[in-house]
Amino acid sequence: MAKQLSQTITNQLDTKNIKPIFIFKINSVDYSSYLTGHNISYDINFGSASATFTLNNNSGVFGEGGSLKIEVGDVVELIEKFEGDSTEFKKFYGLVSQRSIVKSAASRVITLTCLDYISSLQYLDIDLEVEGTKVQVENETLTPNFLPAPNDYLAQVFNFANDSIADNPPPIIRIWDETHSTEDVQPDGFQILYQTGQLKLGSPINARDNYSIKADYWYYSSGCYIEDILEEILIQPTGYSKFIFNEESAEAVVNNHLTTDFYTEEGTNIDYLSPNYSASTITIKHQLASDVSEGATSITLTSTDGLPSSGQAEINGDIFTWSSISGNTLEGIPSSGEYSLKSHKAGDYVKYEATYEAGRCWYLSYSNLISDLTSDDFTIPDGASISYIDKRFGRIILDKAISTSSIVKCNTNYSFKTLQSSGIELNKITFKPRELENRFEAVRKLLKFCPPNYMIRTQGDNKIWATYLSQKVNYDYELKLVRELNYLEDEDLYTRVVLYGKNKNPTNITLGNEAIDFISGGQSYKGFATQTELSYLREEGNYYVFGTTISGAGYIDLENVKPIVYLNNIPIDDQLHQMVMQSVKIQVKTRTTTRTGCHGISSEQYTKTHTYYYYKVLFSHTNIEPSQPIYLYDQTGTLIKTISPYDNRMDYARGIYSLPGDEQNSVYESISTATYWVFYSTGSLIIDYDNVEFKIAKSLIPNLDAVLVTATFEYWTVMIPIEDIASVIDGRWNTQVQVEFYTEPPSEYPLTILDLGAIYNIQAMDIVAGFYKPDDYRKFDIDFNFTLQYSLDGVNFYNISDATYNVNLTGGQSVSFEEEDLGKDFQARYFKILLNKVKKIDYGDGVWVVAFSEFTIYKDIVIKSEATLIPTTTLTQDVNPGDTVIYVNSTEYFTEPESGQTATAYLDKDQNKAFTYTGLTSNSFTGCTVESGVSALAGDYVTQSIESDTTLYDDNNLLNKLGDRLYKDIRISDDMLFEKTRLDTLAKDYLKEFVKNHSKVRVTVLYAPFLKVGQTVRLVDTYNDVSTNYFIESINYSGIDYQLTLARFP
Amino acid sequence: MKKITEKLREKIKLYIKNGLDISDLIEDYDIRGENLAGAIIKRFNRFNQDISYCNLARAIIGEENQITHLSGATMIGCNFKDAVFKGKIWLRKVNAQYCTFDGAFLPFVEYQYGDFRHSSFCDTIWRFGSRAGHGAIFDSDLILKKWAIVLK
Repeated sequence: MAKQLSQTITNQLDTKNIKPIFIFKINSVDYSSYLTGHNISYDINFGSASATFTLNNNSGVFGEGGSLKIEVGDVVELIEKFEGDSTEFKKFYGLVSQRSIVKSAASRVITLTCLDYISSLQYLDIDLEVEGTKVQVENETLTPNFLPAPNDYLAQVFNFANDSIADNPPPIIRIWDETHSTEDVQPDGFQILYQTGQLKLGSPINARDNYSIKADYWYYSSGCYIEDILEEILIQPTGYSKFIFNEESAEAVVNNHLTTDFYTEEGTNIDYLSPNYSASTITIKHQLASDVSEGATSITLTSTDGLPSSGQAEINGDIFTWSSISGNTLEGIPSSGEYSLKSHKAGDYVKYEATYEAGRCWYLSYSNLISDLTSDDFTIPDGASISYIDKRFGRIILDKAISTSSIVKCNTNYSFKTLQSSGIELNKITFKPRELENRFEAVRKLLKFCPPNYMIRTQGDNKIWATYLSQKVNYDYELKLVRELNYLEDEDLYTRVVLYGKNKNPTNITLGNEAIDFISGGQSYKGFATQTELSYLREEGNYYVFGTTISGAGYIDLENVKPIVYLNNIPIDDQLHQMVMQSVKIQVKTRTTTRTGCHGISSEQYTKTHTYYYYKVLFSHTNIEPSQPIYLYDQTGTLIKTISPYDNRMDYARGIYSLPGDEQNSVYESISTATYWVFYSTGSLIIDYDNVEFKIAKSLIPNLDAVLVTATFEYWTVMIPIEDIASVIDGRWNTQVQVEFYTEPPSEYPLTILDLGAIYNIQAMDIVAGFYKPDDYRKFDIDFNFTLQYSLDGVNFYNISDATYNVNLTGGQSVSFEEEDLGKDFQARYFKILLNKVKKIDYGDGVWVVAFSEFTIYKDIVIKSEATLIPTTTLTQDVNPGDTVIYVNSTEYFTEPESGQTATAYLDKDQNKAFTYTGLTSNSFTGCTVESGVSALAGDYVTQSIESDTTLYDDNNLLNKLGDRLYKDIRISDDMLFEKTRLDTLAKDYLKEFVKNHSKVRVTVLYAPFLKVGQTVRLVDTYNDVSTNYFIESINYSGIDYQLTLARFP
Repeated sequence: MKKITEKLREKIKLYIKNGLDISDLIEDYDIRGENLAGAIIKRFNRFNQDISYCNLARAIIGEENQITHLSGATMIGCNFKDAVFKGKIWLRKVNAQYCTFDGAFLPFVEYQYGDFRHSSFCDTIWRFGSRAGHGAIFDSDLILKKWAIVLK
């Protein structure tokens, strides 16, 4: 819509007899008589307008000391009229930015450079946080998603009753122990899927019998629309507590500069609505009038306008159905099972989404309405009536579709916000002074979330506008008095768009991934045990059985090392072993005798007592070799006695020597050490190689408690699998996995393989080392080097980069691999950890330990959206069922099938008109299969695929002309987080924008003050056979020459 | 086969969270690489189709007394961990390499000539025998190495 031109104006245009009037005001004072020239331009990139005005200053009134001195900051207005007509066209409203006084012999002028109020935003600071409606929930018991039977008592994923969970303040998650009525606040060990409102634990818990999850959190019941955020930016006070446009209050800014009405803009009260020309999917939202409890069978809304008598809707992601409506109440909601309700709060939105056929949705000329319109304000033909009026989007939904050529009118002047509906909601956005230089930057940051054709701008009056620029079906004006016409195809020529953004909801692949696991690659591990202590296991007949303390020792290997068992460090090997200066014990037993009698002469009675001493030497070993002498020494090493070979006082088998004599002998008592030979026969030893057990004859071990049994042997075991994946994916410090080696693992030893369960695009990894924990109480530092390898198939592993090669970690240390370490578009399913070096820990006999406490892998920290053109051509002949060849203008860029394969294409952009082909020529598809019921006419389109969220038909054959031309924009920023859907939409919007740019036309017309940026004009170019609607993208005019840049979207 | 859009993906997530059948949502859509963990899919007939790398962990697939027809499908790298198949499932001539069937429940599976190499079957309820799986290919070390079961 635009103001209808009066007959006076039309006559002047038709007769080319134009009589313009320029009204120029400074601070509302008319200086038109001084105006000698002007130039105004609108910059599409920044949306701001600038102007220069030249004033006659012959009298010097505008100079220093002049009576009409102009100051920087004065308010400037330019209004234009046609002579004889009262309609005013406001062309500029802004501030004086610069003055230039020029004196020459011929004249004196002053030139004013002026900027509009959008430009003034660059001088204003901002400190603003805008957030949607946030609702608090306390102590909600989350709904478990139980695993299928037989594990149907376990749950790992839990549902919040709401989606759009706020990350600030962060949700508090508590595990409630039902059995003991205790709760454990979880600082971590879980992941929250904020968007869908779900919680994933690191591992499943028994949510049926033992535990429940409780949460305190906030959620967004609604977001903030871009236009509302824009308004917030504009109405913030300045640093001197004033407001933009020098207003005294925010309310005044809204009322005077961000609000208008239909009559003011269009000069009439009648608004003719435009229909949806194809099916439209629309969401109707109404708020809950009161709280809803779980299992409620009816809910009361603030309105049920637009809702069918039965249907399906959702409240914050909670889907339910209803079967009837009574007033504002939806009834017949199931009380349990599918489609029943969780509890929700008053004010939450009930969202009903439906697809409306063409002719059911009708759009007013403006959106973001302030006025409350009713059915009485509209004229609807064909017996249809309004079922829903959507003020935000400026549309009505009818109870039935009517012809799209019908006349639907709004007969009431309505007011609306000049910041028009964008259709884009954000939950939260911040504009901080230390991040943004000024308020203009804040607007640019906000518009990064918008399609490129959503423009903020002024258009001559004292208002700031924000609208989508696009051509309409019905044009506002047909361009007249065209003096010059150029078709432009020389800027922003792209055929593919790639956008990168930081993900609002990145996915930790490891946490809560059902498929992830450590797996054993089956590699064998060869260990060497050196005189490792054996532990007593049991008694078997005449043998004692000992086993190794080494875990995972599968079997003893005989390839390189013959196993040797030691008794008190003497090997059982059929060899003589000389024991030099070994300590011995002296055992002394005494016997005392008493004899009574009398002496012969005196007959005196007497009693005699005598003590006998029996000394034995107890050797440290048994099975002492009898053929060799034994030497006994005192504490100083002096030889006391030599025992000859085969001495019958010597018990060689038991290692006991009985010293001769029975008197106390201090020399004997000084014996301290001995040198002798020992011989252990292997006949007394049986080794169970398969089970790593050692059976030693009891005769070799007279005293089980006094013998130390050790063994040296080489053994094989399969790779030690790390089984407890949950310990390293739960984000908790107090859980970890550790692997102990009892000999140093060989270099490049494959420790384990991590299987993610599927191939992922991986963008970051965090690995944290643990500590060696021999028990629950002690921990030791560790030190090891590892190399990370990846694989897609689990068979062929490859190094990733230098950063992941020979990485050193010590206890508690972490290492992160970012995209630059892993490479862009890095894909993997399996990760193998190869140990390069492990340092020995002095614990027990020494142990080599590798431990991890965290393995976190992110797949989509950065999201990528790509929008592409769909190869498109047109038929040169009709197509009918059974045709095997389809003739077209060109098959360039269509997929050529592999030999024996088929490819699919579509006729008439209709999903139901698919055909397959097996080959291509330059202008035909061959080997076609056209099913019954599929046909098309010459001139109809043939497309490779059907348009989707990220693809666009190449109706102009740009691919053929330009090939691949990529536009890439990297919007990776911590304070600009995107959801994938939004980024996809943006990518396609940008592609549309670039396709639009191919249609640009520059037109110079003679005086058209009624034209505004964004209006739709009809351009008739008989020479080039063009009669097309364009929208005005920019206007630059000087005097009466209007240079327009026109464009049109596909 | 249509490509799943991000909007549809969000709707699928919403349906999965609400425990609703997503059969209609994914019908005629390419589900390669999609995350459908925990989904209820009553109709899942993907005869000769490629559904590789689809995550169907914990999914409940099929209906009692019905046949879920996946014969000839390419399902490399699919994750069926703890998935439950109701009714009968036909996996004849499937290429199911690198799949995870750990904990999956497929009591009435037929998988003649299917290729299951590099796949794992820990705790899987699965019908072994020539009647159900004549000509199927498994890893030679499945029992000895992966299950560590001793054959004597």
